[in-house]
Amino acid sequence: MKINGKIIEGPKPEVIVIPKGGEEFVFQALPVLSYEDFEKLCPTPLPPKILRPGGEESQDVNDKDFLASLDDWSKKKVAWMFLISLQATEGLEWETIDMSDPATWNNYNTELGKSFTDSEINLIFTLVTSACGLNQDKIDEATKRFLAGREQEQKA
Amino acid sequence: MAQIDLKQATVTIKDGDGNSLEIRIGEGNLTYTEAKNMEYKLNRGVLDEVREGDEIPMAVTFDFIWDYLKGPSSASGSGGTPTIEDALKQRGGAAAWISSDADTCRPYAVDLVILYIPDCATGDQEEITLPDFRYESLAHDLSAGTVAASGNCNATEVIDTRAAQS
Repeated sequence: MKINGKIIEGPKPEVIVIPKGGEEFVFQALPVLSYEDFEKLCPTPLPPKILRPGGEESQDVNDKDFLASLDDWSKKKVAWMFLISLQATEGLEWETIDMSDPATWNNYNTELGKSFTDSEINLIFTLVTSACGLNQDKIDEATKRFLAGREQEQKA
Repeated sequence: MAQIDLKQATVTIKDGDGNSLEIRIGEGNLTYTEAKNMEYKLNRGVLDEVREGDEIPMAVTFDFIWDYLKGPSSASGSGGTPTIEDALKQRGGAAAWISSDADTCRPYAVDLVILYIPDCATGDQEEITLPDFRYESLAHDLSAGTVAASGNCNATEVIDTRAAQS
């Protein structure tokens, strides 16, 4: 894919260095480009169907169990994205996480919490959201820069 | 014989593998009868020993008008949302359901679960499970939303639990 004849480069890792106890811990995150593997392990939950007398069928999007499963699925998706994105970090190993077992994915918070403070964990999380293009502040800044540049061009 | 007014209740038909069909009842009744054979032995014409005789399966009848049926999003098998008949007969949308009876050599059975939530918020909700139900007569009209059935459970008693309303 090209925009204005310019080839869009492949994903670049976002990097953060957290100094701790005289050491520097380097975290790298890459954007997650495909959620296909996640969907294979955790398919998007669908609302239950309702059948009324006469055969009319509809979906119950307000079903309590469905909403709970959607909430759980969303948490798993965020956890999966976090773990896959951080796979770009050299030497990073999780002790209690098995990528083939969705029930273990949310353990990343507990594992990080054993070594890092809440604010450091937030920094790592921001790194991942930035890498995955979910940082709205960055998008807003880039849009502002683009619009400001265009305004100057028009004045000149 | 216990009789439950189903106006404030939801009946769920469950298989042995997590599949279920929720039935929202408009009006109707469900009755179940737990019975015991007690044998009274006389000693020279006077009541003496009591022994429990053969077990009697719990008899269940229900007759109601349903407002709607709520089935799984991706109805297992083909045929869309299972109907009550599908769920009781293991066909159509319930073709892939598995018997609630652990012994797979026995005829297909389902669990009937009645969740009764009283009108007042302070009253406890009650869940009554009629395990391993097999129908013996069934009349169902999908267009009118009516169903009448009777049958037996391969159990002598219901499983009854009460809990505060959630």
